[in-house]
Amino acid sequence: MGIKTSNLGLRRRMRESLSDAFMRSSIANAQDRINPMRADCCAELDRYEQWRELAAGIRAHTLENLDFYLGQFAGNARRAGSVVHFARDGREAAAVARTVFLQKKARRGVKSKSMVTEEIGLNEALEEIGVQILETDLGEYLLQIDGRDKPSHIVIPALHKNRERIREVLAGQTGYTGDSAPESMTRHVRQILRKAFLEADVGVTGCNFAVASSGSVALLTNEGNGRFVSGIPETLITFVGMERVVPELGDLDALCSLLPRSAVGARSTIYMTLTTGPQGAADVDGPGEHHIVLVDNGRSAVLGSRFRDVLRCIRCGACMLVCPAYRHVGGRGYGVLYPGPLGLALVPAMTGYAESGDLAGICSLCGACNDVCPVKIPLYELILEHRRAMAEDARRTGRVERLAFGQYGRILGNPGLYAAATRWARLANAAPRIGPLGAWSRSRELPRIPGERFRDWFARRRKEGRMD
Amino acid sequence: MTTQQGFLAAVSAALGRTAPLEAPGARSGRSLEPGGTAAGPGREILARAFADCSREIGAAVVETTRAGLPGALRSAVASAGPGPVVVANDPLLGGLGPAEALLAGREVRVWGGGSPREELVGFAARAAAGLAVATMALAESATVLLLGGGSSVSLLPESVLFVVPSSRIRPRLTEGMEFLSRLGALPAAVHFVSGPSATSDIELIRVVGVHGPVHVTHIVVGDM
Repeated sequence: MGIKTSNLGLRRRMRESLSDAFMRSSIANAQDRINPMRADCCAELDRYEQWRELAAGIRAHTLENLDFYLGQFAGNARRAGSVVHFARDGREAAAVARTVFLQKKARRGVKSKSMVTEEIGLNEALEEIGVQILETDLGEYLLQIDGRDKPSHIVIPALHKNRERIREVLAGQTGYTGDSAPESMTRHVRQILRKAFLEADVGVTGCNFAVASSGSVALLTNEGNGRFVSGIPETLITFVGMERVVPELGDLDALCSLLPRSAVGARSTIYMTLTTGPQGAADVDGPGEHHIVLVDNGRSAVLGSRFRDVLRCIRCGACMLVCPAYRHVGGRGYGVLYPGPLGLALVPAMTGYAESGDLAGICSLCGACNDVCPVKIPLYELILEHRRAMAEDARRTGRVERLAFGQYGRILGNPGLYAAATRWARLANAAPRIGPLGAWSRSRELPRIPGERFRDWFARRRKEGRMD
Repeated sequence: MTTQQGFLAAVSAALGRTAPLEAPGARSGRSLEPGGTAAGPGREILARAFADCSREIGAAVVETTRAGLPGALRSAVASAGPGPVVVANDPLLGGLGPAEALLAGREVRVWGGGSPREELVGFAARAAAGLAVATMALAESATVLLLGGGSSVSLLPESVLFVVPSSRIRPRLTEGMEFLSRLGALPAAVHFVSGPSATSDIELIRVVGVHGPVHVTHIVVGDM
């Protein structure tokens, strides 16, 4: 898919998102339900703020010493028997997977949800060589069979689809004849994917954390697909965004305590699997062959910039679920793989402003994201920093904005103009709610301009002699 | 294709260095100061917390004793419905005698035993129940930690039974990670399992039983 998920302009994407009533109500519902669960679950964790501090410290320390820890991880993973590959960009990363599939003469792959493989366009690269690669996270599977629809949230990708739409897609694509109850449809997909797991030649996963001291990769899922993908097929390929490394197993304590709590308000994910090399002589489990692909794809540029802190991210999605802009825009309106405050801070730093600078506008600078981030990324400050950097680029200062602020300055600087403007401003109350105002005011009250100006009120009181 | 050297050079350059570090910089605090008493909560409190949390996350709980374990296992297997049973290769279960005798009347297979993996996976895939043993259990999240024994045993059957000796229940993930850190080399696959598989991907409605087991039972053995 690549990091961009849409070629439409920002305004067009916004219009499409704002007119999708079901999507907007689903996102609002997700925010209203998950936010209190997250708050309760975090409050229940003894010394939550200290855990956050600890987690932020682990991530910051790792990034400062990333060259060392990446080298240590690669060495230990090799000692455990994994084959370690390095990919500078998405093309190289996808090429590793293609080579493994071709060498194994593998035609069927199963994949568990992974952001980095979306980022590098892995599915398309494999399909080009005739490999059938199946998404196995329920939400991702539903998107894949619905004409490769785009995700609306990094943890709950099919949030924008209602059950009726899902039933139609399952009926059209898989011959499903049951009702639209989530239980029935989930059972149906279970049967299809169970067969796929048992028949697949290669499993492909992402990685939540890579442990430098042991060479292990940790994968967290709730559905169990991560266990199937990493444990059933003969060959396993794990893609690791290079900032996923942590120094030691002990560091997983803080990070895995905070990730599920922040993501969905749960104390733990249902499954966490640590894979350390392929199955050895003493093991009764594990893949026969294990490849690890460490992916840069723009991350070293972020690491070397003032936006380094965004690489602390553990992909919980909490920043999205508290964001008032995300509530209305939804994940897909951002037009990039990583939506919400995370996307605003991360994507322009990865791709440059020409490609995705317009994202920085989708933010009211309310700062709610900073308060929930489990690794204390200063998201608000990073977004502001992007805006500042862009504004400093003189060519980027918009003519319309200059004109508007120029007029504003002229009015403020001229008492006569100011008096006239404020006298007639109240007429705006009667203006019809059309154009952008129409959509805006459907879910909000427009502020009303008082009928009497303060200066008129003051003058009247003085005239009436009531100045005490 | 990029080499390790080339890849790390770009990372070092981004960090303002000409070559990768030989050793990492100093770390401040690796863990929280321990809270509560040095001895920690007693066995009964932990077993109670583990059972309560198990129910919360949709796992059934059976409390039994060493003497009652064979009976508890037979009745839990019976409630999983007819069909074969796949059993983890574990000394605790081995101590209860041959699995075929323990679960008389069932087609039973113990993981491993020289059978090819593909054959074992095929058997586990048609098993009605899987029987595994917790290497450790974590009270806070009702998590069962599994090392070896056969991962497919607790993944493929629709019903899975975990034997949890109460002496193996620890407070939380902190203890789980400490345990793994002390092991030295890790086995190829280590699993933390907290209840039956679930999803909320359709309209945020929780559905239990996605790819993994639909029913999970924790058989807590009080005096083991």
